[in-house]
Amino acid sequence: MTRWIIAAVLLPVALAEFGEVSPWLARRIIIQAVRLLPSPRMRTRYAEEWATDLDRVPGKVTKLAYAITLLATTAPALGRQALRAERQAPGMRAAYRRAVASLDPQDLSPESLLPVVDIVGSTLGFNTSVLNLADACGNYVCVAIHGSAEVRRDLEGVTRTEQDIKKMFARTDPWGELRFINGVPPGVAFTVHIPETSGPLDDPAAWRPEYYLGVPLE
Amino acid sequence: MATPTRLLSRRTVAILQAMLSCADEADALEIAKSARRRPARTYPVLARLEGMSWVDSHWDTSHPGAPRRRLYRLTGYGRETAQHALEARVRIGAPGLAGALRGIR
Repeated sequence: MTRWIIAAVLLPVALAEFGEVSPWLARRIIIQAVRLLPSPRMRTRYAEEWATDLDRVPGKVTKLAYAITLLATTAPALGRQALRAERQAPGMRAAYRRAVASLDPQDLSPESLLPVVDIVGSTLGFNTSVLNLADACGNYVCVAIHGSAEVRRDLEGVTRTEQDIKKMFARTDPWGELRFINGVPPGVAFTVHIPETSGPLDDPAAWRPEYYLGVPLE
Repeated sequence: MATPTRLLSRRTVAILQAMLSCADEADALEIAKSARRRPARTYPVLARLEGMSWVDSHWDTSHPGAPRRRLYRLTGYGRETAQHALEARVRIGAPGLAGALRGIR
């Protein structure tokens, strides 16, 4: 009898207390989930994103379930994805080198060049990649494009003079085999495609739409 | 059109369909609700799509003083590729996007 009375009194109290503690516990669990992420950049981003989203998840116990899922599955999955991407990077560079090395100098048709830009675009993760070839007059013609229909429409067959190409590469920063280009300098006639962005880029280290990488292929 | 030949799960398909049908941009909770998926399971999918340049994201700074939401939207490339893939999926009746992506290559 006493047991029933204790259960009847304590159980509702315990459940009410659990409900009250759940949001606090959820926040603590999210802090632990964020710690599982592999890079400081990811930790900063998801700490803020998950805290904001937690406030918008309705219900006290639902908040707790949301936080537990972040800790048990989301953070480990994001960590695995980041590590996999890091491990794949050397393989991607090797794939790119193989594609360039497999080119036949006697057959530089757009069809034979397409695999190179496709590898750069789809494997290295760039939205757009293009390949320009020097013609008999020394002008550079855009012959192979990986990107959206809009990009292909803007860039297909575009010709740049050797002089403009040299001006572009004169003000680049070397990134290993690549050259980092911080937008088209004034006075240079160089048709580019600048993708639209959804809003202001608040991270000063973010890749900006006007940036691109170039690589001179001999 | 060349597309990445990655295996995309049913969850990814649901999220892509939700993003194609919803407003210009949305946060992860709204996307999860629209896709009828658990919110916490949405983040890895969005991160993967972001890595493939199908999706981009930014902080919502339109409400100063309020906690910032992370907003996601399909890029032009992602919208185009996802539409092609989903159409091909319906056409060939594949269970996931993996089959669809193979079908349109």
